[in-house]
Amino acid sequence: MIIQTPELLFYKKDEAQNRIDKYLLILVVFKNGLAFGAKFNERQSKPGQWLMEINSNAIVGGIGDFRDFKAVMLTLSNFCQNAANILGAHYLTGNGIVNFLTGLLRENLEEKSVALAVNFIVADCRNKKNLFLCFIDFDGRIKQLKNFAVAGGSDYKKPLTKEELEKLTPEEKAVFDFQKSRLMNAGMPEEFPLSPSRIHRPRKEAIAYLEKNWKQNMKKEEAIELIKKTLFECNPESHDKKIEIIVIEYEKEAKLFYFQKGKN
Amino acid sequence: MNGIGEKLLRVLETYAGTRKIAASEAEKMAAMARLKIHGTTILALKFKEGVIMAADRRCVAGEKIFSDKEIKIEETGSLSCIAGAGYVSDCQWLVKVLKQGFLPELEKFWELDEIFVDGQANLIDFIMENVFLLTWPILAGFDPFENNGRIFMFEPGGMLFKPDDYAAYGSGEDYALTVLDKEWSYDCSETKGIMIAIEALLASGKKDKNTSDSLLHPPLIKIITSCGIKDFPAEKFFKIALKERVKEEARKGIKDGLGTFIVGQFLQNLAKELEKK
Repeated sequence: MIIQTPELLFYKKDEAQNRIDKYLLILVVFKNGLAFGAKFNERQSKPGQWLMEINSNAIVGGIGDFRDFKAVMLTLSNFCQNAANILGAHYLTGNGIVNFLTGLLRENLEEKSVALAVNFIVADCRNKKNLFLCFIDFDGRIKQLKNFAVAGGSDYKKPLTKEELEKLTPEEKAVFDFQKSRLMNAGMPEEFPLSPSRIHRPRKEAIAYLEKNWKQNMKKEEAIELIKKTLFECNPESHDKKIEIIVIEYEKEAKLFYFQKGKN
Repeated sequence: MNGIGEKLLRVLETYAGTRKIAASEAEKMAAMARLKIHGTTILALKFKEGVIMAADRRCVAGEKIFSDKEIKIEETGSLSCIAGAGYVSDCQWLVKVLKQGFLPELEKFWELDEIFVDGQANLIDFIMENVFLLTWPILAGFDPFENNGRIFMFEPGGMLFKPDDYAAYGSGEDYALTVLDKEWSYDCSETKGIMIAIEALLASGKKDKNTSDSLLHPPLIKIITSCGIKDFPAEKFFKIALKERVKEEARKGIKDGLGTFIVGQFLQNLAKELEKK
């Protein structure tokens, strides 16, 4: 049995947030469907690995710790299979999936030793004029959204470059040295945790970018371009610069597109 | 996290009371052997725009007529109805679990406006697989996903049939099915469908002691289309039934039959009223 103290709860939240990592999953709604976009690593990722189709209307996308994502998807898939057998697959709605996932994530955070480190986006296009879109955080908090959704992108601190280090004021330098020695003593990677301006918030940046550039009745190509630009602009830099975009048009098969930064 | 099945089983347990959940095969077989314990006539038939459901009004307790005013068709949604033959208590319990337990529970969880006839059929099947009920229900309704009328038949063992045309249960089913077999066609209209249902009920009411005489106790007829459920008026039914009876009595040469008597009385009353005027 694990005694759940407030400190443990904070630790679990922090740990889960870190494991979700800084990379983004974006969903954009366009005129005849919706498109998902995320970072893609050819060696590590399978095409469409962060998506699960529930039925012809509902789809779930996730980002974070892939082990946790798979575990949740397995449970969700069993649950949906069971419900489809008893009720019929076309009765499974986005709302029901959100209810299930919220309960599962909350239960895990509050009762288990480690929280599930995944963010979800649930989309249900039963009503094509008013698409159901919901973001679920790792702790089970939900946000009903419109037009687009962004998941993942936990806050992170970017290490200082040589040029930035040289530009520090003497006070900042002193604090930095103190922090550095303390972190090194603790065996942790050296970072500059002091100034809030050094903290990057990819999710917030992506939301701001999409709010500025999303348009009503966008075409498929425009949606792809918007996701591409948002990911290249707001996704933290990594050695793999490839992104994957999955376009789902109503009553059509999903199509996958791959783009690399710096290449057409 | 428990699955939907387990959740629904808990709902069943709440409602079950003394009813046995998951009856043994032997019990099921014994019940199937006593198949003819239902005394009624319920039927459903498809027509172009939907489905018609009809049931007589008699409720029997062994050899005794308990009531001739029983309403056997219950609405389970805005586009579906259920009727049952067999033990009244089991049938009423089934409807109660469906309407008060399963449908609200699932509609709330999945945030659905309504679970239609196909979903309801799956749920009834689930209930009857898990609880041993001596009832033979027919569920009929309009399916907006398939855009046509649908009929589902169930048996105590948990069997589910989906007839394409018509269905009948009860002690009067043979007489009703004879009429349905002969008269029903895939392209029948609403009026034709109603006429077939009336004829089937008249036929079973005449021969089966457990089915009420439709002329004395007008049966319940429900017409289900994409627009909703409407009742066929009893007065209209009475007129059609009387006409049929008079025709039949004339064909058989019966001069003191019920139909002839009622028409005679009616004509006498009419003559008296005219005289007064």
